[in-house]
Amino acid sequence: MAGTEQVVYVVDDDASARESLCWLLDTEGIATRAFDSADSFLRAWSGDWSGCIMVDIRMPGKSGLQLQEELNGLQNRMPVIVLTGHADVPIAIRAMKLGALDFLEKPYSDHELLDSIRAALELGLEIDRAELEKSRYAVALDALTEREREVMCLVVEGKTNKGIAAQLGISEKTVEVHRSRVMEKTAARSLSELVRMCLILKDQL
Amino acid sequence: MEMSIGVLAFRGEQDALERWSPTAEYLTESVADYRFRIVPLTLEGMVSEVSRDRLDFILTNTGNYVVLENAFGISRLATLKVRHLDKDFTQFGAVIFTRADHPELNEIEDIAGHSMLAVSQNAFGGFQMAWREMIDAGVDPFADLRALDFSGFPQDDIVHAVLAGDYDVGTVRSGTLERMAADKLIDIGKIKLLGARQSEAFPFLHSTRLYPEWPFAKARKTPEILAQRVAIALLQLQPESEAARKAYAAGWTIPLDYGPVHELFRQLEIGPYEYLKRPSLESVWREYRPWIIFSLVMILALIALAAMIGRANRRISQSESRYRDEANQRKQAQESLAAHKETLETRVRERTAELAEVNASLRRSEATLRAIHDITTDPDRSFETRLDDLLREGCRFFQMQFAATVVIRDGDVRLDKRVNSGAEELQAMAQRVANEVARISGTLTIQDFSDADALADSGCAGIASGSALGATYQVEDETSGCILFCDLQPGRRIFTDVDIDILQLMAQWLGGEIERAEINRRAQEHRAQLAHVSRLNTMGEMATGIAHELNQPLTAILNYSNGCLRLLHKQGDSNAELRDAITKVGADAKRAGDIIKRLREFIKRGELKRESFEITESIEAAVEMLRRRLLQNEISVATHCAANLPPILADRVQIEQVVVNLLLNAIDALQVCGPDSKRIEIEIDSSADGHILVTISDSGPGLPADTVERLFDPFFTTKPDGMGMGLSISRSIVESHGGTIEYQLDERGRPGFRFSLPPT
Repeated sequence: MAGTEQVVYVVDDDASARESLCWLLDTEGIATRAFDSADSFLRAWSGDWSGCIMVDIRMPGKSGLQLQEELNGLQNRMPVIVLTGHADVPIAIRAMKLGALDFLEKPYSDHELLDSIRAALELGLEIDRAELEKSRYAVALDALTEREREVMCLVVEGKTNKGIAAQLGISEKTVEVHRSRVMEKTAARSLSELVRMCLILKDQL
Repeated sequence: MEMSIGVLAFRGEQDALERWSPTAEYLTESVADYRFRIVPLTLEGMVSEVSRDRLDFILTNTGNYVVLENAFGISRLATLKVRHLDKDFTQFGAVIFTRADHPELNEIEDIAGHSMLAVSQNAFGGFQMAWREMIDAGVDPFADLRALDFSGFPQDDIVHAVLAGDYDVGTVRSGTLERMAADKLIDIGKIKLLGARQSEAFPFLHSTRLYPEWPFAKARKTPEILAQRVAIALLQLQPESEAARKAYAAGWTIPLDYGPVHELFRQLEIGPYEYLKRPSLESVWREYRPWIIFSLVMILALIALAAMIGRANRRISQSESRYRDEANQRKQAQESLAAHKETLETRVRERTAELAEVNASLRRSEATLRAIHDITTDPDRSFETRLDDLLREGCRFFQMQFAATVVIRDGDVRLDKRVNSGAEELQAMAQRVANEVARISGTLTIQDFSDADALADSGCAGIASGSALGATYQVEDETSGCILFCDLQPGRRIFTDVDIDILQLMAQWLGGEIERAEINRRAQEHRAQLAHVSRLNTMGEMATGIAHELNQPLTAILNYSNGCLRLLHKQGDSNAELRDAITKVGADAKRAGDIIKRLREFIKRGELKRESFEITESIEAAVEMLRRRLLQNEISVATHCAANLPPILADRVQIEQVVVNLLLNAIDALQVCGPDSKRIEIEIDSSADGHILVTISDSGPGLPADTVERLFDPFFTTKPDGMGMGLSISRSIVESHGGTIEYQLDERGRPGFRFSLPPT
């Protein structure tokens, strides 16, 4: 998953607007992929795509907002930039509530557009990295034994070896052994990294 | 054994004893073993003695005998044969006489109006005989005479009084005149007899029927054998004997028939009982005192007993009295029914009369009603002309000079339309009448103001004379005006109920017309508002559509120009001219975008006017607005509304426009359908999350699949003359309310649109 190329997915029913945008981004060295409707995009969509989505609000069939709603239900990680022919405040608010990163009114200036896209790609990259880390940690965590996991949780909570030994009813020595195994298996370079790891994966603990 | 003979002593005891003692002695001699004794008695004494049964034999005058015979069952044994002036007779009568020279009196019937003198009211021969003859002749002595006096005995005084001229008529026992003439007391030639009769075997003048002389009678208790012996003895009495001579008699004869005497008493309605009673009460008291006292005691005891029985019987009598009461009540009810019936009949008569009157005025009114009908229903004339004609017709019908309509608003009463407006005086009067009609808020009829005292305190005070009719009308249940007619003269004819009906009819029509105009005006206003909003929406939607449509190519131009500039930059910006030109392309495209944006902002829709209302109201209003078109196209509309829908907070007019747009589309879509299959169904429901869902579906063919995607695009249309705005606008409106709208086929495959609106 790491190193996947970032792509700007353009969803717009208007061919000239769609194609011109792709061409412009191409001149900037940004990869694009174009769709003429929300449905065609959804059909192609994959959970491991990386980059951002630019979607026109007003389209035949599913609107940009409806596409947003569906994506929200699909664990989409990519940030969404909403394009509109006219700035309609209620629609803008709805788009934002649905999680749009930005809201661009056509015709947009290229700086506006590229700033927005770069920000989105940056965010997308971060999300990807976090996702990567999370999956790496998850793998590491899977390698821990039950006892090691227990010791790790107590360590992260800030308990001393002595306290852990008392709580689990084992010797302090044994706690130290478990602890070093945890650091080894998770490849955590410090206690603070271990804490961060546990925070990211707290859902799975 | 002593036998007592009661004798009527009409001339005193001594006379009676002298006259009849020889007869008693004669009987004592003739009838062995008995001694007879004379007991002289007055009439009263006679009755008293007979009633107490103290006498064995009775010798009394004819009248008295009949009374006693009737009352105490005495019976006659013999009748006296009288010898008078050497003549013997067993009967007697009376004379009714006057002076021989009396000019007016010839018959008994002539006596009426004259004066008369007699012995006594109770004297048999001395009055009662004459009385009977007078009655027979049609003269009531007690009513028809100028005077009727009684002189008492002797009878001679009567004869003298009549001859002296003190009285016109007199009556005396027969034989009296002859005796007086024989005694030279009178000249019988100076006497004129009235109703003189001739009778065989009666020697004296008489005017009356003859009645038997005194009888000799026995009491009831006296044994028959003895009575028989006495009778035989009497019949054998010789005329020359002392007993006969002393009795002025020629002896006794067999008893005569006393029936004529009875007849007399009956005819005169005097007689036994009346005569008996007064004296008998006393005598009875004297005779039976112990018995009466005993009886009284017994009666008192009986009363006490009766009281006890009465108490026991009271319940019975109470129930009897109840029955009586009920009977009385029934009787009363019947009487009151009868009375009621009479009242009803009177009422029917009155109503019939009234009806006749009403009929007459109805006939008169009929023409007017027809005229009113023609005027008010004429579709070719304006309201103003019709009102004008109506007021004129009213003036003609009521025979009034002036007519007006009056506007009543917020206490202000203002004359509006006038017909035959004449003198200022009339206008001023009309204003006052209008004020009064407005005050009472009803119907006012004044036949003549000079009579209308009751109006002294009202707005009509001060109107000296004239007549007026006025009636208010209601617009939406508010008194908002009136129609009135008035005249400076008193009413030329009497205003009837029918007149009032016609007046009220006119007022009602006027009110109805005004109300209709008001409703039309409001509907017009509503339509205008909707049309205005619709125009604004259309313009806004067009601008939006144009902006959207133009923005796409402008965006493309900008994208391309920007891309070109980047490419030029990468290649070292060697061509400055090209770079400037492409920069200007981009700038102009941006400017074009700005122009569109400003235009759109300029005609941007106003803020939503949100209010809380029932969605059904909007739908009903929309259907109502399109009623005519639906009818023209023979389309039926069915609305199904779920219960307990919450109100929505939205712009009522805008929502109405959405419904109108969808209905218009449905109407257009149904053009291709046959006449019986044109149906529109409106369903109003709510979703689980509280959204109001409105579905408008039709029985049309639906839309081609390839058009569905673009339905809501501005300028997209499937109609030959369509603008492509309706659905676009509808979507804008629904979305601006935070709702959605979509085209769908329902579970039965019918095409339709559904829009949702979020809860308040």
